[in-house]
Amino acid sequence: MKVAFAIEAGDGLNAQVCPNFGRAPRFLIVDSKDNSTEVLENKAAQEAHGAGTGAAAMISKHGVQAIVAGRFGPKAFDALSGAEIAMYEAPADQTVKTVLEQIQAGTLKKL
Amino acid sequence: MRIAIASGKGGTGKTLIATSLAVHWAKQGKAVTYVDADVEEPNGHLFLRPTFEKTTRHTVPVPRLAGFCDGCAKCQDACAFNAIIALKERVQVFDELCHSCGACVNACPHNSLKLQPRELGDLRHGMAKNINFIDGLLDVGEARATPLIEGVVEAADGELVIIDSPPGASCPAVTAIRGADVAVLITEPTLFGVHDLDLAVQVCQKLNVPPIIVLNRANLGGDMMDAIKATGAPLVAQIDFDPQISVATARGELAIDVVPGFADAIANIANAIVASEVVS
Amino acid sequence: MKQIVMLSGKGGTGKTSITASLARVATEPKVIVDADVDAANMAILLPGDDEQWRPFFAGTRAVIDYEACINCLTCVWECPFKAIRESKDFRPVVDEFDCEGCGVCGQVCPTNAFSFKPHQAGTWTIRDTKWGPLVHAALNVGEDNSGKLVAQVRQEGRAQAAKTGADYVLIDGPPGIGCPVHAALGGTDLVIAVTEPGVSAQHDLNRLLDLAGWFKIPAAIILNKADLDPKAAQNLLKTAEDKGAKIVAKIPFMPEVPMALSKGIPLIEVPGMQEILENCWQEIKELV
Repeated sequence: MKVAFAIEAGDGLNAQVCPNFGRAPRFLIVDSKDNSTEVLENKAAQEAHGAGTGAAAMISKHGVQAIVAGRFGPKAFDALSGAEIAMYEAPADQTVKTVLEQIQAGTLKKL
Repeated sequence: MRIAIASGKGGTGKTLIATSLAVHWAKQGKAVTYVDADVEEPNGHLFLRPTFEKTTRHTVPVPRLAGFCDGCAKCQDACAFNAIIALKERVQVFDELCHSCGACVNACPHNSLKLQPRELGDLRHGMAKNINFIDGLLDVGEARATPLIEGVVEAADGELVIIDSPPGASCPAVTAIRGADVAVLITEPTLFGVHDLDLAVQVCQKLNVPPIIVLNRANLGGDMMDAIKATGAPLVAQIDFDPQISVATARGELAIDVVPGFADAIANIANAIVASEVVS
Repeated sequence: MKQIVMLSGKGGTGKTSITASLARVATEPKVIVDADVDAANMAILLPGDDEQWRPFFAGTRAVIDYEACINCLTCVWECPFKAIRESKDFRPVVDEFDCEGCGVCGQVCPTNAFSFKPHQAGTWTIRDTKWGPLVHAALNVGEDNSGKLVAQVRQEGRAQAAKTGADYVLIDGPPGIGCPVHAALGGTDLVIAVTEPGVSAQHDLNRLLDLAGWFKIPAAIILNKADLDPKAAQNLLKTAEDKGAKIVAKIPFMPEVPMALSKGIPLIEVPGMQEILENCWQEIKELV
């Protein structure tokens, strides 16, 4: 399963979750099969309009099944629901590694 | 003549002066139309108390899928505003981001997108003491005021059209001021007032609408004459602060009817406006 | 760290002056954000040294390659914003002020003469003040105030708060209830509506409180110029009660205030103001 994380600071699995989805500077995509990672710069954050929808469109092109961020704006929520990508909200001070473990253990629930 | 009443800073007295001018000219028998273009927070109706005769729902065109879709995402690529995204075999449109340009419609290889009207607020027509009254009320939660501002401004016609504009110097104010024959910029003698006045003058210059300045609450502040002069636009009138005006306004009464001397101040401004047309 | 946004609905209620004053009376470490980017005034009230101004880019503008252009003028007819006009010598010319970068001209041009360049819509910077870092920006006139610059200054405000260990981010918000207000409101912990007695302000306060409710953010009220009309003030207080908004301060109207403001004298130096604002800040802290 591929899970994307909106990240702000840090690298790889120790990166910190970003409080925003649409304006996050980048996304980290983790393939839970082998914990391999890929970084996607979020161009949509640089656009005047529709950062949330643009970011949703971009990550849906990468075959992602779930996304984690601090919060999702209403338009991003609609876009991601439409694309059938599961959303998880996590506090900003947690690392990707911690949240991934919570999702796999079932302790963090989908929106 | 189309007259925009504007300002950089909010709360300088635009609506007070715009509604008073409307009453002044209507009393002279002129065919006046008052337009409240501040569709996010319209207040003109509180003072002119029009009888509303017609309310229509104002719409903007937005794309809707009306045919075959294979998720090719050409519409998404064409949209400069991230307002349409492609899902598996359909599209998702974010109306509040849409600028109604039609680029997505042009881009769809199957000709499946059509522009359809979407409601975003009320456009109201009424009469108030021989004044034609038009305003717009943007639905709460709507992000873009501009299409409704365009709607109310376009709906206005007459010998004298007064456009009570939203504050600021960005898109909403620009939309209200565009196309006017003159812009009357209402300012106050404070640092904020003059700073924002300068921005408003710049907008007028970009739109080729000649600005003239009215200094409100002139006695309540510092000496801003040099700063006002530096904007390059002429100061045509001043109104002193009078607590009676504030109280009347706070009560929703027309100061021009209840405060002695205020009618003269308004007449001065009216004459200055008409005189500006002669000059340009 | 708590984020508090000051809004007003109607302009001219005293929002910016009060925000600057709260920044002065609050002793806790904080960051101040001027999110009223259309008419940014906080910098006038909070002196300090600005870092270098950084450009802010938003959107694109159409550019015509006149070597490729054949003067068919299709772009002039097709531009949805009437931003391309025919010049005296019958060529199409893009008005950058009106152009929205939508790209339709590029779609209809038979010779591919259009490209799109990034557009600088404003500038922003961080100022070092005695009361904390002030993140402020200036949108160029006539720009589409989409909220992106608001989002940028807010993001920077959060970054500064993390860097300095600030407890509060005080955001001076824009007037109205549209797009920039949404960007200023989202994700904050408390909305403070600065209002005044009177039919206009009452009307606008209602709409603002509805908006805060729509975003599910708690709201409180500062009633400025409170004694201007006791009856209207009563109505306002009733509205506050009905909508569950707490009144955190009632400030009487004082002619010394506009005089002070016009001279750049801080509000807290007007006799009586310091105490009112200190109490207000205590009330605000209890709410977040």
